[in-house]
Amino acid sequence: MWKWLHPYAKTERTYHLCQRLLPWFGLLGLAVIILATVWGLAFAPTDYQQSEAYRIIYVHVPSAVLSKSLYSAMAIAAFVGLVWQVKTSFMAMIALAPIGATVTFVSLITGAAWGKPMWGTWWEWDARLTSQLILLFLFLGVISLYKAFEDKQQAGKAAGVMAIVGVINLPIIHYSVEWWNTLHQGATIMKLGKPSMPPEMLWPLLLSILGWALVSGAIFLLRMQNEILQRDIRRPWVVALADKSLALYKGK
Amino acid sequence: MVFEDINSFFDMGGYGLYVWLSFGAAAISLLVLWLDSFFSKRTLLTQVLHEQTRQERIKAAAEQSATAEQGATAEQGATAEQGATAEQSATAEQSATAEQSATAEQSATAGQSATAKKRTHGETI
Repeated sequence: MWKWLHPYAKTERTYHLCQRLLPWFGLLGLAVIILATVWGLAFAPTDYQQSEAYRIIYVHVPSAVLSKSLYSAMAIAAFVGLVWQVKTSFMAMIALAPIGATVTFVSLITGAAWGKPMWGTWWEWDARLTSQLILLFLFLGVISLYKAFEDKQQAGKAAGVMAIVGVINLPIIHYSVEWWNTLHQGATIMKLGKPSMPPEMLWPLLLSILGWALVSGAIFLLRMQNEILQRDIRRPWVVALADKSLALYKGK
Repeated sequence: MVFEDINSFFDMGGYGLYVWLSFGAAAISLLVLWLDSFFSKRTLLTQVLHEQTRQERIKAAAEQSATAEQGATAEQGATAEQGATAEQSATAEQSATAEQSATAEQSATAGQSATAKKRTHGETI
């Protein structure tokens, strides 16, 4: 595996790999997310308890799931960067951070919009909500710590340590609904045994999680390319690439 | 479709505000993130070319000032050794070699031509 992975420590190859994968993730992600959203909004059956308000689940759960997955991915990238000194790994870490921050923000907003009609309040300082807010601050912390350093290798190390330390928050978020008394309901899909949801509701939900993951992947590929361009701004291959692509823009 | 008409679809059983707020916020957030990533890529590509022309300008300026200084040191040497004609011809030769090396090293980097300048300066004195 390492032999296969090694060439991608070279930025030029990684850039071209991102370029090749980008349309697949982008178009497929867009298609799946639209399909899942329309299905969830218009065709999934009405909930017997929450009536139509439950449809918020089709943005709330994907964003919440993605926020934790993206944090894990970011922490893994940070770990690889710190242990094996892989330069591209820190680039991946910092490419993931803004996506994670956005997705966490969406999960908080949609959670508030769901909480108001169901619990009667936009916000409550309970365990699940507070730990999710801390996750947002961790993402923002990693971004700003990275930006604070002029030397980007140094920045990667500092932000990487913060990302790894913040992993402690992930199990806290996941088990907060069990460990403390909270307004938030327990797990629906991610638990042992059968998910407590009929398949007509579950399918669009799983699809929307997939769609969000693909779209996040596409944005990651784009941001990864940006990081590479920024770091290799004086390399000949980047100059040649810029020449070519800008001629293409002007030609249009 | 579970809704009878478009109005009940937008009303969402009275929860329209919350449902559409959620979906709207999600769509706008993802869109903003995508646009930011997309346009910063384009800006970066133009920046690459700006950086390239800037580097070339710095290089050209460094070389220009290096040749100008070399000429000045050659002249200085000439005025100091005006008395002896033998020495004068020697300085003339030296300044010729200085000019030669300057043209030869025009393609070299600024740092290299700076050391070349120091060398010729030592020779004239």
